[in-house]
Amino acid sequence: MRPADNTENLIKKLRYKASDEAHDRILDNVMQALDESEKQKAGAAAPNIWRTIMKSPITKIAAVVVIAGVLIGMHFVGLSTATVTFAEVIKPILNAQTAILDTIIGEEGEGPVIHDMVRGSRIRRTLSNMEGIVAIIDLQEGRILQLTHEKKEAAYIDLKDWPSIPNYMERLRNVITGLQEHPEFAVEKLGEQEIAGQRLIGFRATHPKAEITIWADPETALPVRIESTGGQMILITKNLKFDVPMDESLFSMDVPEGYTQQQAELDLHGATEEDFIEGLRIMAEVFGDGNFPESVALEDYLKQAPAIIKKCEELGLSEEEQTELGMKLQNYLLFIRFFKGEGQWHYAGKGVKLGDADTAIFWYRPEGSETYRVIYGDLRVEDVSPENLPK
Amino acid sequence: MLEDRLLLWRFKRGSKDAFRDIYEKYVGDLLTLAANLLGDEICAEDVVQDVFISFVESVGKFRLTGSLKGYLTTCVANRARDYIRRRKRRQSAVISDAEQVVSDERSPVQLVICSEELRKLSHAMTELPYEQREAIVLRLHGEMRFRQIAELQSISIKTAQSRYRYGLDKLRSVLNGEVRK
Repeated sequence: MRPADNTENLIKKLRYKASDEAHDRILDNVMQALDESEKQKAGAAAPNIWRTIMKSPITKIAAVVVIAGVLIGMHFVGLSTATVTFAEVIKPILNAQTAILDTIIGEEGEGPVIHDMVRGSRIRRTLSNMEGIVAIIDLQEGRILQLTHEKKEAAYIDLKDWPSIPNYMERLRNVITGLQEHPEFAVEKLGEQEIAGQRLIGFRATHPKAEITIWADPETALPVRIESTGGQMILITKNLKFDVPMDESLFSMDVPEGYTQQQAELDLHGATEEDFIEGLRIMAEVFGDGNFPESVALEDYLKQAPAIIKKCEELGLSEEEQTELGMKLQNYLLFIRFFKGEGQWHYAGKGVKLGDADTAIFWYRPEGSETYRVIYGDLRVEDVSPENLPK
Repeated sequence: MLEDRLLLWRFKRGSKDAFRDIYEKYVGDLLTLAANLLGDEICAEDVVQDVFISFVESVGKFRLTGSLKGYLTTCVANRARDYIRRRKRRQSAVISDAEQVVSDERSPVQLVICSEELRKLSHAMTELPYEQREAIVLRLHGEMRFRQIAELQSISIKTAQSRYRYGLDKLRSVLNGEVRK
């Protein structure tokens, strides 16, 4: 008796091969249908996305990574005081004219390090996982100059509706002073602890809108490490140095000779829920193999950014495709970075497949709304009352 | 998988080359699937063409939740069943010998033996109840799981497995009978 798997193998060999003529005929007919379909769609006069994209030629994947990094670090604004000792600790920050610092988002050792050099209204920023790309941020003009040295590319990014900040350190001082004057401002002494092999003394300053822990050298009272929260991010600032002489040329907003130049505008507060949903779709479809990302937090995006860029290169995305993806991902990140809802957003998309209509992956309460907006795995959105929110 | 998603993404943004790549990648398997389901090469070509036309016309709204191959396979299966229903009679036409090819061509001797067997097998397939044939073809050519076949046929997984097993048993006895001759 013939075994079952033998029969199965024979069935698998029942292949059908169409003639070349049949192949061509089918393909011709399908392409004709495609042309007809496109003509009908063109009649509907959709907005010219390519025109829009080409107005913003720098929003490529790589650019988005730097922009994300730029946006994150801006939260290093917010401190406090109350006791004499605490005042001593923050004194260098208050008196400094220049500063060099490293910022890590999330857990130490996991994410990239944002290295900042601060001088007047300008910050020179680099990311440890994006070698060869430098961003000079002019806080007074609300403008970023991004330089990609390897490709000799320069791009200006104008920040729409950016509040002019003539001096970063001065701004920091004003914010600290403002926080200290708040009636609910309080400082708690944490005592001495060993952190990263160093004996440090800590102070936790709390304010209704911020919580910051400063660790300082007990001998010199110089701040060594600052842990703060910004929105739903945890930031760790370390390797602080103050009043280090820095060459002005490092902060130049002029494009170096021989570099190509591009320009774009970034509307920091223009991202919508639709933009965010489109970003979720891209993260799942293009980069997640059909699965939503583990997290939508900026710090996690930054961590996986080099992998995203590499994947784009491996897949051979054209400049235009990278630009379109970059523009969409930029708005996806901005929605989270400048979140405009009440309270916190919640993400539960880890392990959820795109198309899963039963699972809520993201919810938040828009400003002034009594109900929540809940986004499901099939990317539909529903208004849900607080008592019916996912557990 | 990722390649498919990227091709689809490009196609959705207007790349005809991306569609051609999708077409070239899957047309052969889909034709084999349809031909084995319908037992008729002309009908198979019509069905596959209809599936691709429907795909290009609706790509703007299309959301891929599984694999592209799985999606296209399901489309072919659904269209083939509609086709069978419309005809209201079982197709018994056998795919012409000239167009049946053996995928394993390592041994010329085996090829001859296989060709004889395949002719009988192809004919025997068309004699099977459609539900059994469908279960076998979707499993072996569509690489579907029994759970997916069950969903497609709106039956239990157990029933899908039974249909597959009964169909396979029948084919085996036909082949054994032929061998004895």
